Amino acid sequence: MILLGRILARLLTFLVLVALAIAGAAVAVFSIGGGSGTFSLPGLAELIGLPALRDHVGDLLGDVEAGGGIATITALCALGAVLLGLLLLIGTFAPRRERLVVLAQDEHGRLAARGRAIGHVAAALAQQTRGVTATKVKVRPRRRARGGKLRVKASHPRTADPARVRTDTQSSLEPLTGAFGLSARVEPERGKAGKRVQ
Amino acid sequence: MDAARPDAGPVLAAGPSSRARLARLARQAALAAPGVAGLSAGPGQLVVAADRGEALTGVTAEARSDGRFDVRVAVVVCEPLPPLHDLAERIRMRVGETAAAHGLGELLGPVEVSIADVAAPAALTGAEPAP
Repeated sequence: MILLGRILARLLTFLVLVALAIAGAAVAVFSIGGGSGTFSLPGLAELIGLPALRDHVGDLLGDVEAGGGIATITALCALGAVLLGLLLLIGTFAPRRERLVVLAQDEHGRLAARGRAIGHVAAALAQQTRGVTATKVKVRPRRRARGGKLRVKASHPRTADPARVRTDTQSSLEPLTGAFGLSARVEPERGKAGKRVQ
Repeated sequence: MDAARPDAGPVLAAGPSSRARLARLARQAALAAPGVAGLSAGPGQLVVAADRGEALTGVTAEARSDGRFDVRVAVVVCEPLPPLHDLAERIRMRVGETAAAHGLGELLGPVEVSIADVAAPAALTGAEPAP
């Protein structure tokens, strides 16, 4: 959610700045002339259809005041705009904090690791399990406490017993999970044809 | 009045701050620790300390209320993976010794060791990995 907000905020900032630059350049160029000629501010307003837009918005506001379907759609659009605004605010102001898995903590300092590093180690350990052909690891750090959760998808051939693969993979992960307060959920899944068994 | 002070001068001509010196020393000490392939600033370039226009990647030093500095080093570890507790202890010890040798021992607070990544032996060329 925060990542989406951040991407949207950056994209919109870029687009708005480009639009502002173009608008500024246009106003500067059209300010050269005076009166109501082609190169004048009234000319620019005419060129981009501001009078027509004013009439259109006036009609829309009249419809909204009258109630009915158009008013409902307008209210929903306004709600969407508010939500988009909130998302942009979150994307702009949410702290850029890296979530780390805390492995140990004492008065001398903390030992932590990025999820990717832990995932790398967990995958290496899980792939040492007999019958496991491939692994996918997801790591979720705990918010406050030490440790985190590992979700390991272990691919195995048809001939392997999934329950056995699960327990063996859990055992292979023990050096990591036992030492650092990590909990592992192993999900055995039948591998695709052509994968080799360790 | 400043002109009368012997130490008055342009800000840019001043030496590095204690924070920057501590960050630089911690970075050097962590890079010299066995089992460390390099330091990483992380995906968002968050682990970076600034020293007079220079960016020290993979290390931060933040002031604490007691006058000391929290130091964080984000290391890339070589494979095969060394015991992480021992690695962190070694890095802390080296950072502490280096800081003390340069007269900054009293400013050093807790040292956080973050494992940023694991580098395969084939990928190790002696150069610092890209953040």
